[in-house]
Amino acid sequence: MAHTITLTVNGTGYTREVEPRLLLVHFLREVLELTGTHIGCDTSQCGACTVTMDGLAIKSCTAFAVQADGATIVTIEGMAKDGKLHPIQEAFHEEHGLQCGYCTPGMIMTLSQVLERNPDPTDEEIRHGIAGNICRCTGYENIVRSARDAARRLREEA
Amino acid sequence: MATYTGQSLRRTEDERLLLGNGNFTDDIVLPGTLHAAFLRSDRAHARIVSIDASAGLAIPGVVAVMTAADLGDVPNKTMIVKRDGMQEDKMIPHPILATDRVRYVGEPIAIVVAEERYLAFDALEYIVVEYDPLPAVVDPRQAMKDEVILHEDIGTNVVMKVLEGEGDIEEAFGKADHVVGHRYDDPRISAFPMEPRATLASYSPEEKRLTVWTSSQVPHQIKRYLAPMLGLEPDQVRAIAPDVGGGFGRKIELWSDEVALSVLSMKLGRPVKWTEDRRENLLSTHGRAFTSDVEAAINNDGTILGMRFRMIADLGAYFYTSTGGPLSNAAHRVAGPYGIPVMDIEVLGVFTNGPPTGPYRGAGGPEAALLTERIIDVAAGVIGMDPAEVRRRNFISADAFPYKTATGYTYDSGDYQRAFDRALELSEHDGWREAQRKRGPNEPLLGIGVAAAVKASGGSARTRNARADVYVEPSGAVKITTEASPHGQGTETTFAQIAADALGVPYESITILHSDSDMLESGHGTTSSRGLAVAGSAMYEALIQTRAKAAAIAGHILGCAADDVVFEDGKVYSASDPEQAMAFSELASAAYRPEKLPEGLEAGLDTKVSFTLDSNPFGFGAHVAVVEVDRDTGDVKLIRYTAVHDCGILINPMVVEGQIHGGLVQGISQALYEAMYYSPDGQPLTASLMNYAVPIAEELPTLVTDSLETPSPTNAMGIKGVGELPTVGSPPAVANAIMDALAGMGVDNLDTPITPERVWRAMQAAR
Ligand code: FES
Ligand code: FES
Repeated sequence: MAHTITLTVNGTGYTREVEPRLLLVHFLREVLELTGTHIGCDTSQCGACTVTMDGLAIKSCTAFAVQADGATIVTIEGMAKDGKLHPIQEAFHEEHGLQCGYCTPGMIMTLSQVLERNPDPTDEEIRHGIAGNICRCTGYENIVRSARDAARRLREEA
Repeated sequence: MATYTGQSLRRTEDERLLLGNGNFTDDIVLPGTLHAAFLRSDRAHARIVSIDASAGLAIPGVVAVMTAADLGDVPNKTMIVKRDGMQEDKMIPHPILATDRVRYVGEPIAIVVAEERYLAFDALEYIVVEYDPLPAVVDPRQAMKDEVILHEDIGTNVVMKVLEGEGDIEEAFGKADHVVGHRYDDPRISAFPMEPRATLASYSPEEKRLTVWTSSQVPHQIKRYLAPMLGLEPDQVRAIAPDVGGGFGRKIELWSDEVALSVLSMKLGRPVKWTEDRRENLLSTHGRAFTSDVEAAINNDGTILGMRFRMIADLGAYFYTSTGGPLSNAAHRVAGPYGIPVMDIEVLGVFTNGPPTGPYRGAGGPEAALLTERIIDVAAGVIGMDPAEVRRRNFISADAFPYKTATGYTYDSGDYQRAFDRALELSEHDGWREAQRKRGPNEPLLGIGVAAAVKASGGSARTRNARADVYVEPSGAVKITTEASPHGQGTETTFAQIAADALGVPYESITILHSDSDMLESGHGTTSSRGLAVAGSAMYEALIQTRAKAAAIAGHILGCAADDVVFEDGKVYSASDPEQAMAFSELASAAYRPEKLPEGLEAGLDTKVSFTLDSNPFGFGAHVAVVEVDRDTGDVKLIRYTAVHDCGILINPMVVEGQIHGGLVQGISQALYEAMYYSPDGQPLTASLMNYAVPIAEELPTLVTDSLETPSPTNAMGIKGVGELPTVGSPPAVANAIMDALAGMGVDNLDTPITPERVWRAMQAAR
């Protein structure tokens, strides 16, 4: 019953045998031990599990590991480079965009796509962009500020 | 010298969480871990005729199935703390696993452990429970009739009664120009921490010791309650709350699953892990769940003469540790920020076929404020006065503190009028009123709502005690152990700010340790807005004692009096002769060398304190909400939200503002979106995010906030808690704004959550 999948996660190649029913999020968390990707619901709505697959933000609780065969995945663990926080991570730190930090990896992965598509979003566009991610701690206020600050950092870097 | 206190330092906690290196309970992997899943009742009320687990057990990889019959010597009940209004003979605890009867959907019946997570779920499908259904009751007013009784041996569902108040309410009603009254329902809602609960129990037969990692706000309490249940000595249990993804009051119980997992780990000699899914989380416990009648006596000049409250709290089917807590809290808290001379309050607690309820952010405060703040608006309408003005006329004045309310609280300090006026100004309240007058008939309805709220920090006399340990290492590094158990509050940062200032050392030299029962012998965790106010005050006391001893040593070495010693910038010097100086690290090292010490002083710089805050500080919040209501669809749009808080001296304004944002939105969401609905026969209708509405960013406006700082005289730092305060005033502010928008439409009352459907129906009915 096991399927063999080969994929790249945060720049590292992996080949693993998986049950066809294994969710991608459990594959990342339990097989690869990348526990930065979280689970917050059972209905594909909270976004805590967001990663990017071939450049698109997806909810990894709503994909099977076998669907990621051949894919390139980036998780929160793949965002910082050479010991330096990614600009979105820096912005969350600077603008107090996280409290308990449970929603944060998913928020950051979603925002990486939002800001790639729209480097200078309005607050409304940011709020719309993270509509699939729920945070219970921050009231979103400082997440919006963080996203704005992240956009600025990314533009300056570009 | 405050170098750090009052600064918006960025948080030490952030980096690990931002990198994905947080350490939440489900992230922890121990060798040989078994995975657990619970079989839960799908009936609201039924007798269990039989449980057959054999087919589940037969699945390869399934290790054990445990039911109540397998608990052995472990008492089949969780822990209850008696609260005001509870009666010994009616304190029915939640069972660990159901024996012969289930009383709510979601009640645990059996627990499966397997080598793999998915196998445990598979096995659940093969366990057959035969039920004999019983009629269920979910409406507390219906339950009070005792037609369906949950626990026959006590003969009634009405198991709590709290009475509070002062003065003659009939007399107040008799002499008032007007008496207004209303019934308000405040339904069950979920705390909805983004990390549901999770527990990993690991018993070591060699060490005869159980370690429990659990997503909890109260690890010390878990240890304290768990040990006797399992027949263990307290030092045989270690409870650790690693990173915790939010709590909001609903992670303060000793849960039946924590006991069940511990029992299994002890039986099997292997670690056992369980991670709650969202459905389980939504079905396990709720907050609020009050239905209340409130009446207010008011004169034409706006003076409120008295209020009467008849509140009914839905307790659910059993008591968890803190289920009874919100009732007496609510009874005290209806007073709000007003000097109302006569109060008459009764709160009843009723068993129903729902999961146990308990404190949720505010813990009785929001339940109370919803009534007081909404009825004031009704009263204002009757006398034709602006609701903001009615509040002004009844605020306790700034010179009246300490102020004793007619509900038995003593408020420490405040300047309600000033904070309230600041909120009106910041929100452009008068401008919105003007805009409201100018609204045309084809524009959406505009509504402005205000609310004012007071919230105690620190909890009861029991939880106003805290321990702290300040350990200055010979290197000068400072390790502080607090009994606070944070889950988003930024405690590692704010406590280090306080400590760095107290010892005059760099912030980076401070490490804050917490949430491990092996570090401190006892504690009450982070609940009741006590983190800073109580645990922080305990730490401060330990710091002051540490500094006193350090000053004595420094004085001895520098040749000056102890009270002449100054701690600053990592240095210690004599104020009268600053040339006489040494590095703090030198002092720390000397403290461990007996030959360097003045006579009679023990070597070491390690201070442990048990500290009690004598009385509660009370914070204040003033809220202004502006809404637009669509005349055709009833859609409500919150277009502006302003709040001004006074939570005493601010340690880290950025962190405080973050707490306020989150608290406001939880309250806003309570007013607009959230309710846990059950069918009349007790089936849950909102057990997933498909139908339980937690707000997303798009639904919320930018939040405008400000703070005033009235120092609290109750503690040395002048601080007040802020965790719960913002959640108290925001539900009525939003509700009042909507009612204000609908004022000309003949809509009498709407209960929260005030959804577009409710608004639309009410507008239709009034037409
Ligand atoms: S866990 Fe994937 S959306 Fe909630
Ligand atoms: S920071 Fe806690 S859920 Fe977002």
